[in-house]
Amino acid sequence: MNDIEFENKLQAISKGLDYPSTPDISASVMKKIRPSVSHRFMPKGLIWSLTLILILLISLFAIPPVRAAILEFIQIGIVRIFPQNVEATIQPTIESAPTITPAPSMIPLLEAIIGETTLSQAQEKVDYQILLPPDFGEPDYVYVYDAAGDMTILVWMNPSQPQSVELSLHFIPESSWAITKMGPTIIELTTVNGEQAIWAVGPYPLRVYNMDEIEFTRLIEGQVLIWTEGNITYRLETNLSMEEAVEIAESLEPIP
Amino acid sequence: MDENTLIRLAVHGDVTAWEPLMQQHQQAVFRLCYLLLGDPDDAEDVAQETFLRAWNHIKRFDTTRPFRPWLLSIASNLASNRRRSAGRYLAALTRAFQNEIPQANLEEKNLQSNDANELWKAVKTLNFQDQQIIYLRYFLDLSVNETAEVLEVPEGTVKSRLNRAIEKLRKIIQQDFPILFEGHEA
Repeated sequence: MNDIEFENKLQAISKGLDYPSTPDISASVMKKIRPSVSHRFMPKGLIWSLTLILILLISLFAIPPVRAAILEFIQIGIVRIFPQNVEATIQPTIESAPTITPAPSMIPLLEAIIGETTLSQAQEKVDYQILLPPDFGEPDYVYVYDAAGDMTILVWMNPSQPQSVELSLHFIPESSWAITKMGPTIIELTTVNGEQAIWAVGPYPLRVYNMDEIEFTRLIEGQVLIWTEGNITYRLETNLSMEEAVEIAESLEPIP
Repeated sequence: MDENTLIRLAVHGDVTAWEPLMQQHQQAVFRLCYLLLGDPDDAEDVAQETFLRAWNHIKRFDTTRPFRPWLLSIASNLASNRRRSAGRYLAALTRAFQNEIPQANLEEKNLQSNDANELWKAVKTLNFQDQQIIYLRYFLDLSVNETAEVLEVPEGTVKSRLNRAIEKLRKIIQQDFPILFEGHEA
């Protein structure tokens, strides 16, 4: 096959790719850009009323107890959680929070983005001790990701359902991104090794920040135990109960 | 209303002109993002971001140049950033915890037998630059001139890059995906 035939064949085959149907992107974008434009057509009276409301709100924020109440949040390590009632006060409902379309498996994607490594290579790379839950043995997948500090991710697959994850454990160094969870359905305060910990259950929009810029918001379904020891924030995601998650967290041991 | 008129209106801040322009080009933008990222959710996020950025910078758009390559250029840069972004793996991780059997799974299995899907797999083994040029030229069927506009390089550079990318792809197909062109190589 000569070059031209090869190119023609490429063109012909590529046209047969079955793309997902294109979502209505224009509608979502219009929602975001319309409000700023509508101000141009606002009657003067309305502008004055809104200015007055704004001044009142600013005054309200100037009163220390009110400000404290509005800005209340729970912080564990680098993770900051705004309980739902507070979230309602400081942030309008996120109408356009995207729903999740399940993917077959995260593993190929993780491999493409981060690249899998081994436990020993990971331990050599990071400057903190990687811990393992003895009952689960070695993880099925190990990743180290440069997230302004080397973050380690360990993943254990469910032996009876190889496509689904049973447990994932993140080790997030202090200097890493700030991950903010906004208004999970359930938050329980608990302890891991006597230190305060949070058990958060979705759904909730998760925002991942990088260098003060919002990277993305996504609706999260899941349950996560978050706690800190030293400079490391641990994030254990599992479908197990909170008690079981705490038990796993407290059982963590250095790599044998 | 024709595209040039809509662009002129949008440049002057008319948001109502932006909507039909988006509708006209959202499929190409979404598809390029999907090809580069391999995930429909990511592709949607980046496609939205593309149109938001384009709107915010529309005043700087040179109306003598073609519009679609400009959009695709923004999309391509954003997709490249997204491939390296922090959030991507978290989204993937989160989805993995959903217990329901994803329909996409079944669809993907069917697609895997599809030649186009096999070809896509082969292209994905190339580096980002090579992927980008092949997606633009063949998958999205852009002309050499349009591809040059997207990549902001001269047409001659597109041709030479394309030749190199095709050569690499040809070797990969012969080695790992021989079934793709089976019957044609003899």
